[in-house]
Amino acid sequence: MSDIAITFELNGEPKRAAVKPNMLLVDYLRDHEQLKGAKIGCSRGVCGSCTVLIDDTPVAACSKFAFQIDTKRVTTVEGLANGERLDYVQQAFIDNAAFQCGYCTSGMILLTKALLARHPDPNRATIVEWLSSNVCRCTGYVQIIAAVEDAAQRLREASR
Amino acid sequence: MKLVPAAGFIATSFRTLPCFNLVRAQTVAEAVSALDNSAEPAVLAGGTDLPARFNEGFSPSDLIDISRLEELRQVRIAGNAIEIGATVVHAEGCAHPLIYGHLPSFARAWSRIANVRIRLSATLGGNLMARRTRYEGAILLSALGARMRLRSAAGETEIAVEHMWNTPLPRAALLTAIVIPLRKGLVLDYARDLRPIMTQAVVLEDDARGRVVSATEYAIPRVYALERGNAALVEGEIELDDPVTGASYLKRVSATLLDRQLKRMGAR
Repeated sequence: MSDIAITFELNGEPKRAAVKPNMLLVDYLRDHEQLKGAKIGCSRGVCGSCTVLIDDTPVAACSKFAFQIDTKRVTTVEGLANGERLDYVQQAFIDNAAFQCGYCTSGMILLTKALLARHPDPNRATIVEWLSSNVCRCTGYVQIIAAVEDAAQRLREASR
Repeated sequence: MKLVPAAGFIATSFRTLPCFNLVRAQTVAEAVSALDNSAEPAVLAGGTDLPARFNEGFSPSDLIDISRLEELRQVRIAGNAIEIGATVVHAEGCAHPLIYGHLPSFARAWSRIANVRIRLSATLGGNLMARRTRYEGAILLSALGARMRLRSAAGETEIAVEHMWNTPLPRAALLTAIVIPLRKGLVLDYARDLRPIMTQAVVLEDDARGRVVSATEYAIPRVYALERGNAALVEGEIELDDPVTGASYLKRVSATLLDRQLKRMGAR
């Protein structure tokens, strides 16, 4: 298997890499970019703990090959904060204690970013529908839903 | 630990993927040719199912990436049918004006399958070609009498979606489109609240004919003809069975769901 040259944008920075065809995106991010925010859970694209954004679309990084990000824009949870200032979704998760073990949190936060990009004023049913894409084994969904509602409120206030 | 060629000893992990040759097809003809020349091909479109298959032991010799073939992402009306390209992503397809305009009840049902994250990446063709009984595309499309259009080196052929489970597909065939016949007054009701025990689609047409497709997580979807409002036919013919739920319970669930669905459709 020969390497494939890819160019892409990772958390706002242009990148070039050479990857094996069978390298998964989650392995590339964690092992080659040292971005450990995407967690390996089910390795079947079900649990969503490895969620990242590719061109603003949430995808399970365990179900994508690294070569598939060629020419794309990738955002991981590490790319959300601006220096020491957390993204408003991250802050909403903290303020609402929306995690216990935290394993699902980065995926939930990126899923929320994608949700609010498409639905800036989501109702509860839309939030629940979106969050059902990912799994929280601590079952802290009440706080997670509250955090998403809080984040949506912050987004609305910021856009006034 | 196990020895992997070119990688040495590595931890035995279900994340260890086999080596394969990658073909990034630029045209449909190139993809068909690559399929024809491959000993053990796999096709990559949305990619939401394939890594799971790798983890289950699938080890293709060649991976043929068709995700950038625009020709397969088109939706169009052709004669008295709507053709949906094989790599149309669920979220795009169910919101497409042609599909929503001609088959609004199907569009609504399509917008509910799987989950949001999957719907944003996975394709309708991949849903079928994965050939997993728990996937929902075959249930909906069988109810609509849809056909799969396949292209291989030998030419083009079509197979009814409901027959895909028991009909050998042509060797090295590429699914290019799903063809749904447009029928006057067609309405579809989709019940997925009881998944994974049962998922059921009901289609009624203007001329009082209809179809019911009942499926469980573990059994091939079953298709039944339906006269408008006639549940007894289904109850008498239900043959669903799976190792988890059992036939008698599935029969009752199917009949109960059908009753609810027909009431929602105004047929009872």
